[in-house]
Amino acid sequence: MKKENRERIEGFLDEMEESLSGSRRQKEDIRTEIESDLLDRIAAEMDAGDSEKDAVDLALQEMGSPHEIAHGIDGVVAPASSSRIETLRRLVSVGVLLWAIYLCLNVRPWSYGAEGAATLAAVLLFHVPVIIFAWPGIIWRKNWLFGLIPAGLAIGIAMGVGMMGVASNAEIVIPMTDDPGAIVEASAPASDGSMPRWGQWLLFGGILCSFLVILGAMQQSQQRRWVFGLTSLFFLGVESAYQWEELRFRQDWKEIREFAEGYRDRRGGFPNKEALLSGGPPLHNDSFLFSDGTDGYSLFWNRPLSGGFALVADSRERSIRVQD
Amino acid sequence: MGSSRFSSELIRSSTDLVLLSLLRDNSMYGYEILMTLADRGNGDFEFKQGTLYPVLYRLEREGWIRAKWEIPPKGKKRKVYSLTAEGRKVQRVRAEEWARFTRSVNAILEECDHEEGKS
Repeated sequence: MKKENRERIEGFLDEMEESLSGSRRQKEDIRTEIESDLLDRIAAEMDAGDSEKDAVDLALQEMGSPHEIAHGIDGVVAPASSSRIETLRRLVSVGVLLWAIYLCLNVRPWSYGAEGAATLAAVLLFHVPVIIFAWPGIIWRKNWLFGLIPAGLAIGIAMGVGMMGVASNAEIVIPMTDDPGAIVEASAPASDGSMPRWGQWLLFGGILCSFLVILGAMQQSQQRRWVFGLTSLFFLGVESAYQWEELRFRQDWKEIREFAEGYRDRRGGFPNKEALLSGGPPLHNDSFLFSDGTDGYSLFWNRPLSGGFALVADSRERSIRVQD
Repeated sequence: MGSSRFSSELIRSSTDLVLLSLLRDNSMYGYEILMTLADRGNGDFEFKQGTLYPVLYRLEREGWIRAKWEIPPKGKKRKVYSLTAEGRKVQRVRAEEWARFTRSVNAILEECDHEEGKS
């Protein structure tokens, strides 16, 4: 190829490459691809009888403005950083992922029942967007408004569903304990007209849900399936294990209650510790039964999934609590 | 998109489907796609080479096509595109949708022509 024609092609490619954003490698790849196709086009035109100059003219004309090509490509290609930054982003993602898993496994045993599931979901909702953002190439530029509509719907649905079946403040049971080490999570009533605690949680969860929907709308459908599928699997895996554990605790507690109530009906008082241990039902776990033989009894049940935490139920209280 | 035969709006609305359909059975590189389009579209379906790349990169980002660099024993390094499983599904859905759409438009046009003939 003549030098002047080669220079025109190089000039076109240089101009396009300079207008591109993204990493050096991305730019080089795009340049190589377009150059290869451009040379094919020129060769085809020359085979058809055009002079080299005419073929180059036609090929460059068909390509259009180098700035417009660069602008068009920038709009759809995920902006990539240098390989060092990408490695750093991957490390940050993995770090946040491991931290989220650690946190989930350590936070879940502190609460009980639906509240435990909500806590677990909150931890995931808070960390998954960070992981999606940090991992390179998952989030890419797209019309943000496209995601805002489903996000608005998500927040509405989250609030609506969350409010369904929520007890009024008068009905909320506040577990009482004298033990400062006891971890008691309960919905506190709004005494000063401010938003109740469950409302704050709903708002918090709704905002995180809507944010996640926005991010989901900006992902490839395949990536979205992976992210949401793995997150849901993790949630279901951890939560079902704890729900199973708590179900067994409730079964044990029910049997203890039936035994103690029957004992009281027969003998006029609750069984003492020895009577509970010797005559009571077999339990699923290495439990501690306490009873002073007069006004009540309680069951301490070490959580098999989390050493150091115990589920506690007491006949004088109206709730089950978790104790550290 | 600069078309010599069809309006740019018409080309734009069908580009994804056309490219996915082209890549359904064969892997192709950029210039090959353009040539095949011109060939199979009887020369009527043409758009500027420069506008092809943003579309290909967008389809790749959507996960509908994948790109692979190939270096033939003799020849230049080329970026070859092929359809993914997801892209195959999208192609099928869009092709059905397009068929329904054209049937519907044709029915309307025929009805209009028929009424015009009567009057």
